[in-house]
Amino acid sequence: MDIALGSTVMAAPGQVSCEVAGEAVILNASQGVYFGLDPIGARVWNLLREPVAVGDILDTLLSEYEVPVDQCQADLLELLNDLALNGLIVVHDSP
Amino acid sequence: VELRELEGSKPDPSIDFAFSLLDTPPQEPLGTDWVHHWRSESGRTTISLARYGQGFLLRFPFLADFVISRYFREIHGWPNPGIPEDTLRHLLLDQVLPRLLSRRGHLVLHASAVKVGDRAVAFAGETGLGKSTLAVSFHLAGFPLLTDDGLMVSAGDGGVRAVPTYPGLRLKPESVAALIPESPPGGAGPDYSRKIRVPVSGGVALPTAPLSLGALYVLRSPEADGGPRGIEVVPLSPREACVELIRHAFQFDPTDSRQAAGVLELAGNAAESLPAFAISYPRDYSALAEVRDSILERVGDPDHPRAI
Repeated sequence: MDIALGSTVMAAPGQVSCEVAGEAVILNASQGVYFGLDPIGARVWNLLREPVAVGDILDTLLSEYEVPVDQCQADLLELLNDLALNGLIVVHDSP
Repeated sequence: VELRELEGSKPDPSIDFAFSLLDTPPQEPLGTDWVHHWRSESGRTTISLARYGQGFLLRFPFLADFVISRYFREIHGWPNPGIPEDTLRHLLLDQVLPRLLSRRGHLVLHASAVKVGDRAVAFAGETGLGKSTLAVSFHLAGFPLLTDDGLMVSAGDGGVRAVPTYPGLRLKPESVAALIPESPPGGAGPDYSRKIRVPVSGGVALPTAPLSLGALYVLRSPEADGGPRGIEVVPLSPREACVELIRHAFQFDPTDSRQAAGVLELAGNAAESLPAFAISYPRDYSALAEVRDSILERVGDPDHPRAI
């Protein structure tokens, strides 16, 4: 499933995570998936604890970090696709 | 069963397990009782966990079953017919007990370790990358072997501490021939994993208190980066170190999110202050002395190792 700004995303059940020196590590032990996130990725992960629109995540990041919109959007979508491929988030398309 | 590998160990009163052999094989778990299957890269099931009565059953296919009591204190073993006692003891000490310690809230790494100065240096890595070979290379150079297979790790005010499980040594025959050709026969041939238990002589360390863990080295395959190009050491960030600690930690029931969260928290705490490195080097016994020197330079040991 392609993730778009209108998609709603949320951390998948069955995984656990922790903060390490301002970054994040996600573990889905039963699937043998280990995932490390840099500080911005860790911020995104925090926002994924409840269902959230991808566009809202983008707005939050743009308000907190000085980064061009195009780059932020591309990096965010790449991260979310990576998380989805590893089964760490669930994605719902916009209605 | 006489656990002669533990001779000379100092009992820890806070950790108590009772082990006995079953007279008859355990009942076959129902299909729905199976909780998790660990698989090798080739897809072969190596270990399976099932609910069993009020406890659990750990199965090592074609080797042995271990029935674990409800409160994780009693272990009843059933070796498959023809399985040598050495293999049963290895499975108990190196596979079952680390998982039970993990269930009791300890972070137990599948790692070898040696003593350098007054600190431990640990080596983790996928099966077959040479954790044991590197550890025995240090041992033969005068740095006592702490463990070949299991290391309990904890973080506290004094930094990261390590408790080795026991100083056994299991090596592939080619490593024995290359490193310690004078080694007396261990009594049994290679086991199911093609390894031979090698008697450890001289310099074995049986610490009476946890040691400071000076560094963790994660062995990487040189082929993964396009072939051997000499020794490469890359520092790992705390996040990367945490991932490696988790990757190489024993877990009793990976489907239990509370247990996974506990192990992850322990790994995260340790990773914050543990110097960790990825290391790759040519798969050549003659490179080990240089590998050792490279590690000792970073660990900062004042002693001068003697050459093999």
